[in-house]
Amino acid sequence: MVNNIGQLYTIEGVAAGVLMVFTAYLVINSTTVITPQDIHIIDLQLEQLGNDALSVLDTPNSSVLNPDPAENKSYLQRQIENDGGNAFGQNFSFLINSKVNPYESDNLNFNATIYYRDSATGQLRMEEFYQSANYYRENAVKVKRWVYVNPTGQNNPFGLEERDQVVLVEVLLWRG
Amino acid sequence: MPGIKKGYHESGQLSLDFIVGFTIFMIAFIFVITMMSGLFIGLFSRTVDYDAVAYRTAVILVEDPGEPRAYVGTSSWHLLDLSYQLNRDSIKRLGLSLERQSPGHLQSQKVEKFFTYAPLPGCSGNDVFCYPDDYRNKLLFGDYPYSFNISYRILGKTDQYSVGEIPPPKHGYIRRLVKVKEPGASMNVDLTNLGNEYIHVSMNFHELYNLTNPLYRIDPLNEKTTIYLRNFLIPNTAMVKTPFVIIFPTSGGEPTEVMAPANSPTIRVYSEPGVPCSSYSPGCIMSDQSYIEIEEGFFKRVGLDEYSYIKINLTFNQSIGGFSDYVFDYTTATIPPPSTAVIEVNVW
Amino acid sequence: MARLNDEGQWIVMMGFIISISILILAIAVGESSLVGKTTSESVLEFSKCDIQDLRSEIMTLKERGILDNPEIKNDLSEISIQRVSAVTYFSSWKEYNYNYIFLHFNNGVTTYNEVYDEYTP
Repeated sequence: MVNNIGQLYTIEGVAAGVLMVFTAYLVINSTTVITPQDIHIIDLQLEQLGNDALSVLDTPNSSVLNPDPAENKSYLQRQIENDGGNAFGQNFSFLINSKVNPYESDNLNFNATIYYRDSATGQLRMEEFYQSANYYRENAVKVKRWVYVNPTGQNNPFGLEERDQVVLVEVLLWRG
Repeated sequence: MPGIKKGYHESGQLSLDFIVGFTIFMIAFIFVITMMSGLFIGLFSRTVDYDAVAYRTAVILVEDPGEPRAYVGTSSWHLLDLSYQLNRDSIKRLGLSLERQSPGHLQSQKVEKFFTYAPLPGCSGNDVFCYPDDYRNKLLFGDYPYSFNISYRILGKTDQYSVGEIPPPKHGYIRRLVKVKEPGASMNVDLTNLGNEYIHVSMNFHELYNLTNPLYRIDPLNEKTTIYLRNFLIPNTAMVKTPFVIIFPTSGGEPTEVMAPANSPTIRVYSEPGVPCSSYSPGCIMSDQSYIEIEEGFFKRVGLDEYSYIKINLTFNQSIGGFSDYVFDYTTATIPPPSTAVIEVNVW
Repeated sequence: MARLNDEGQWIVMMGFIISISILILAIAVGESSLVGKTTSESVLEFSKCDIQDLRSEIMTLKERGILDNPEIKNDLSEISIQRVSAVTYFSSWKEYNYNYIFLHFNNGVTTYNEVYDEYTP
């Protein structure tokens, strides 16, 4: 019943099968499939919102032509010069959680730190500015803003140098 | 016919060898097809990234001044009268920002114009946007007819502007925070009571428009201007003449005088808040509550531009004025601080 | 036997044709799977907010008239390298009746150069 004729189709079938599987393996190994992930859209929305909020807080009420420092300095500049971390935190939280419907509110938390440069040593120093909640492992984005400050004659507890300088405010922002 | 060796009877049965071989082939073929099916998923995707459309729409609204934008010789899109189809067609993008270099700072007149709309067919021939076509063609773009909802609220107030229907549970969303320039510069004129029966308020438009940051710019051509009068020492002082504008031509020459017309936009004198002066003879009684309002668009109506230099003459029946002009510039006039607003864009 | 029986070769031929068609489809048409980058990733990668923020800050410094302060230049460069991972540089000069500001930003993915001029007679 089994003679050497019996290997004809079997061998052909096996050979075809091996050929196809090997090709498929080569093809799949060489192409990388990046599946679209929806998770990044949350990062995009948070980053844009955080940057917007920092920009709003860093816009003064009038131009430098106005001699009143309460008007020609931005809110953010005044809080940094006077160590107003709490005031900044309340205001920033209000901005990022406001929705168009005035009776609704979002639920975002953040940590703010300030980086400034010591001109004598050239080193960067860091100062915690505000923490609205403890950060564990949530998906967070970091937004930042350059702020011009000159704390001459102000209440300046964390020791910014009394000169014209530019500091970086970094805010870590997450949902929940 | 396969499976039958030449010379065999045509019994209609496949040989074992053929079956085994063909089975192995088919199993391998099915296995390979299953592996391959994952590769072609991207070709058949039908989902639209609504969040991306919402983000792009928000960027155009918040960071783009729109097209046409205010430039030498062209008006900004919010000043065009949409009753004319030509004007409606010339608007290419609806952006609310003040200028190209100031993203995130909106012009409140553009916001108001953006939210005046009516559904078809009542919108054509009127100065309103057509919902939803104009918004789809000039803001959302694309071949797919998106549904949308754009809403806006100034923080601290409860009234909101909105265009579009209520979004379904699953939709693309983005929220933006912006600063909005509140229109209207104002100046206090403290009368010096020195001896003149008239006062001059001078405005050098070139100096006013020279400020680089548009958020703090005094803009008398496009916004209303208010002059508050204070320090009337003599009771029953009255304004006895219609205010007029003395225009000094930029190239030199004799100044011209233009009386304030009766219809808007014009210079309106208010003897008390909300009470405009109806006639100047016998005279309109002034007090420390009085003010002059130069309505939005008046200066353009009399043909002024960003290089003009003018004086406004206010004449009274008592000697309440001084001998020097009251200069309207950045040290004497103030503009209201910009407000903060939140915008939400929903697309589905 | 005198001659190899090649009646089963159609199976191998089918296998061969299928493999080649898989290769062609996967390489030519399946290229779309290689560029499956979402819009969100592309947007996050382009540092629009960094550049806008930097530009706004330079304009603020210009309005206050302190663009020539070397300490401010060092502040900006140093903090930018360490915290923003970007090379930032600006300089200002005056020529005839124009004030010029040159601004450079490079975070490894995006480079931005601008020369801003202002007419000041």
